[in-house]
Amino acid sequence: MWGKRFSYFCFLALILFGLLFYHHYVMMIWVVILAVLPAVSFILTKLTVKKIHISIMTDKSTIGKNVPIEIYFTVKNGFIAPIENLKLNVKIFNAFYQNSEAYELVVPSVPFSERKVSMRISGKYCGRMIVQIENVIVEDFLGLFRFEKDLNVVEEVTIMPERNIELPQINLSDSGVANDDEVQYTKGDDVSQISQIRNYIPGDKLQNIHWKLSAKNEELQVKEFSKPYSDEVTLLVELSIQADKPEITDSIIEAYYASGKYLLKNGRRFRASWFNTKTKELFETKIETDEELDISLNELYYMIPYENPTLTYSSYMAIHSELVTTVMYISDAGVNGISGERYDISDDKVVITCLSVQ
Amino acid sequence: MSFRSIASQLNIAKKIADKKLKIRQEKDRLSGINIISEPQIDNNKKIYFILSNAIINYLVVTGMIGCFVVPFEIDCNMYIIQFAGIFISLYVAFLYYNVWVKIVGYLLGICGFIYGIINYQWMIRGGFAYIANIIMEYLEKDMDLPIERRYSTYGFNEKTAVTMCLLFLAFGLFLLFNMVISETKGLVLILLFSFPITQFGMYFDEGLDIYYFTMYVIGITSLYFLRNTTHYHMEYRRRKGYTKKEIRGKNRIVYDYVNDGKSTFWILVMVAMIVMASVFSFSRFMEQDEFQMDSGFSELKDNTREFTRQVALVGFWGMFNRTGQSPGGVSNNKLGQVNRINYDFQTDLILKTLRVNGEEEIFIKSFNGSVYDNSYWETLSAHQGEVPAITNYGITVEDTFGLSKQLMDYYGIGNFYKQIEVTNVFANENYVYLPYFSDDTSDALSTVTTDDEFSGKLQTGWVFTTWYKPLVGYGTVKQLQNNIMNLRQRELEKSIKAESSEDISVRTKAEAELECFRKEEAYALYVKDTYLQIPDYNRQAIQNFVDKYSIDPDSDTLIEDVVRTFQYEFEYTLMPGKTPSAADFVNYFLDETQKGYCTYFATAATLIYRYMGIPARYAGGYKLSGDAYNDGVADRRENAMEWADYDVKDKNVMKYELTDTNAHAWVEIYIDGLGWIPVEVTPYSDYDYTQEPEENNGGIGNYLANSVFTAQNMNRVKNTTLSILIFIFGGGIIFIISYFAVGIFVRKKRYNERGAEQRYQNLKKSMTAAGLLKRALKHDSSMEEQDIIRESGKGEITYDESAEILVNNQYADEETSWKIMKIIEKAKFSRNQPSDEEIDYLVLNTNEINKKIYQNLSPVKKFLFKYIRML
Repeated sequence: MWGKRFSYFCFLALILFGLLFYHHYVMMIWVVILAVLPAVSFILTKLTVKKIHISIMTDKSTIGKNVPIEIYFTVKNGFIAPIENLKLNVKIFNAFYQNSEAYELVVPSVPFSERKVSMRISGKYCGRMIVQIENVIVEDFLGLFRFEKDLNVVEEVTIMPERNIELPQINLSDSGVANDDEVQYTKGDDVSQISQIRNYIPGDKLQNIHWKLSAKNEELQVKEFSKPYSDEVTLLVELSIQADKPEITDSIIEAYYASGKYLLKNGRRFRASWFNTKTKELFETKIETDEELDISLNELYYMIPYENPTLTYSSYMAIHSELVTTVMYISDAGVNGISGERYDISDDKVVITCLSVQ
Repeated sequence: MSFRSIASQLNIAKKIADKKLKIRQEKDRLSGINIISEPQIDNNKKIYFILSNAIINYLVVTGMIGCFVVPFEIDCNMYIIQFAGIFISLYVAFLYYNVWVKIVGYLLGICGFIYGIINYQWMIRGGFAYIANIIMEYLEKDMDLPIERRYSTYGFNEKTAVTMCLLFLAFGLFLLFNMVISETKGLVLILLFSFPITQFGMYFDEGLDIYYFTMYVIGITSLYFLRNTTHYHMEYRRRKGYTKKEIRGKNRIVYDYVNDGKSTFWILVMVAMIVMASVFSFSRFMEQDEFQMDSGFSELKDNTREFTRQVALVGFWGMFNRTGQSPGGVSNNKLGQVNRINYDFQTDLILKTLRVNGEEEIFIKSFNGSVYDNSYWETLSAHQGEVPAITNYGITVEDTFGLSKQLMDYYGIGNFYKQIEVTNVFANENYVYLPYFSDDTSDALSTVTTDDEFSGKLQTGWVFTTWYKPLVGYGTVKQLQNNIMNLRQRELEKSIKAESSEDISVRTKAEAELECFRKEEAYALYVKDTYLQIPDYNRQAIQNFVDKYSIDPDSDTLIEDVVRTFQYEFEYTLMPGKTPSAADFVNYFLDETQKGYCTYFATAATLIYRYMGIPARYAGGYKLSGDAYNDGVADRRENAMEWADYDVKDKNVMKYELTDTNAHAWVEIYIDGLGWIPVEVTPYSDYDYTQEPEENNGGIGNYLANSVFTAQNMNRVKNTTLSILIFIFGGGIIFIISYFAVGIFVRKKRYNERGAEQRYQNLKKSMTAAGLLKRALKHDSSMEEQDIIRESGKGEITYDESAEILVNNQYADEETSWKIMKIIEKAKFSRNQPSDEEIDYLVLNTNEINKKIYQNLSPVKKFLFKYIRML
């Protein structure tokens, strides 16, 4: 900018010298022209800046990872002044990670017309890919003046996870204590609920005596029941993030989605739970269908990750001191001190831990 | 290139590539965003770009031509030029549409150009001649430049020829300017070529046509602003679409477009509209005629014009030739061959004499021109046989010398008889230098050979002394003539009467006087027969002069009438310019230029007087008059009494230094009864050419003329110029050699790096050592191994099998082959890349193995291995 101004000043000085040298009418006219041009350019461009409309468009709103998407930057000039340098300050980033690269896109704009600039990009991690134009810098057609306009035009693209995970068979008898809602629907003594057979101890209920076995053993045997089981699973998602390792968080989300898909495919309803840093409390949702899974993923995409690698776990455990459902804890593989059975999902970044029943 | 050298270059390329890749990969990893392709802009039509270039080109060239032809009133059809210009500018602009259009377009253009030259060259030359003649005529008048040259126009109509010539020039300009505009928007080049022509009218304070000037301004101003945009590069030649630039410090990537046709076009439109509106408004506010400006810089242009004029007159090196090209009138060189007279102000003669009241000037004659022939003044001796011999009139040349002085004594006129001393310091030493009227023949210098020549010469450093009687205060020539006749009559009668006196002395004196009168009469006849001749080719010019200025041959003031005509109708100048070789000096002076210095006026006046029947001859020498005569230095060592025969009380002998400013030419008129008298015919000039100009600290032109372009500086400037040229030339050669040497080195390095990086990439992808090896083995594998391949059903051998083959065929030992295969497997499958040492080991050994395999191949297989492999 200053280079152009200096250059213009030199040009004007040259013409002025010509006027002094020639003492001629036409040189005077030239000086007047060079004095008028910047003033007119300034006024016209200032008016044009108000009439500029910029928008972003994408050809898809939801894509998979590493799937190319076309972004269209549209600049519409509603006034008479051409703009030679319209600089769009663009940021493209994943909402989870906020690691963005700044781009400056220079676009020309002619009066009363629309220009489109397209770019092809793809996202490596799932989440919300945000394309944002923070502001625009407009230079007049003479290159002498600069005007800035704040915009904050945003376009979002959702990047869906794509991994398939085979979860191990979950043993229903070990699935944990049912909650009250489930207990009242349980009818009779279901042999599948017997946890063990022992000798009669005075005081045991007569209905718990296993008569057949007692006759056989000629000794009174008593059935000891396990607490009524629940076939619900809880997927506990640890949405922690390390600034220099976004792959881990991405893998966690993928593991969650894949796990959910797997469970639903096998007829298992489940709950999803994670710590919501906005409300500062644990978020839980019931998922019974694929649509609900997608909705929950969408919810997850709006979460703000945190640094504490066990925040969700500790929050969950604080509320649920006794585990009554199968809890699959999805977390960073580097996290230690979580008791439970670890399932190998062929990913060295993420681990799914089946938390022990208390 | 062998693998060994590739290996070393691969290391460098690998390091560079790895480093860049790491940075990029890290950024991509952290952000998770990949830019797959650079931005693409829609609707960028090249046609607008081309159209803009055409418009700018048209405006600049047409505006320039219009600004040139209008002020000088060059008759041409500007409508045709403008109309044709539209097509030509579009044509040349479209040459940049793509490469094929360019090739075909230029070929067609060249053919058209050649066709035009062949068929219209004379018309074009005629047009150019018209333009050149108009400009030269203008410069002659405005800058007082004696160009005196005209080109032949070959009989073509001026308007047609000039239009054709301008079209021809315009085509060339359109083509040249288009190259600069289309490729680089080169404002400086365009300005350098176009502005000198555009400003020509301004330079000479002529009014420019606002319409054409506006066109020019729009073109130049648009060019400037478009150049400033940096978005003007041709797409097909350089970058396309968008370019990428990483600004590391700001962690930003800039995508900038190369050019946009519509944007360029619209900027041009905006600038044009604003310029036209400004011009229209301003011209309403102030007309061109009303414009007046006064500033401290007003002399700047005049000084440059003066300097330009001087350079144009004598050329650059001529600026140093202050001595001029001719010693003025003191010469018998061909007349009219000097562009200008430059004085050196060096002393030529030193005179010493008494100053006499009433004597306003002293003529010191050295040369007489008696016969005018083909722009030369020649003496009688050059025309012996053509002119009458003086002896035919009963007298000798010795009789004529001193006759005037004797007659003056008899008449009792001229009261002062005084001595004069002439010292030759630097004057022409082929002549004597005599005042009017001397009769001193005692000195050998005064030996008369013919009526108009002396045999003696006054050489440099010699001193010549003589006595003379000046003729002062005689009124007009006619009055003098009448007086002389009266005096002669009186004296004649007295002498006749005294002839019969009884006193011998009286009788002797009377006889001497009568003899003197008789000689004079005879001489007068001789003069009339000799000094009235003029060439026939001059008669018409002289008649025209007489008619134009109504010179009455019977007038009593005929002599003075001619002088007065010269004074008021002609111009005195030291820069009259050369007379064309085909023209006569006098005719050209009288008919064409009417300006010159003393030689011109003296020559013309001599012939005019002769034409009028007055015997006259040309005289040259030195003249001391006016302030120069009054400002002599008194030489008090001399006794004034010894320098005169009259009362010289309180007078001093004065010393005068005559320079070339005193060199002069005049006319001698013959007065019956007296002899030849000098007549001054050169007009008086206000400018005192005898004074050496003072140093003028203002004005570049004068400064350069007086302080820079001096004879003393000439050699220094020449030597300096030569040194500078040698320096520039030598430096240029050294620079070019260094540039190419460095360039070769840098290019080789870059090529190697680039090539190495490219080869590295290729090598990694398809030309791996493993691939080469496997192919080689394929070519050379024995039937047994081929069976192994077929049986395995794989069509390809594994690396382990390759290692086995190497060992079996003794191309490598077990350890080497095993190591090679391990490295290859590592490169291909492992996440850890082989180290530099491992790569070196690999390429080195595979190179050796390949050589061995190659040597064992049949010629056909060698060919396949060598050439197909390279695919």
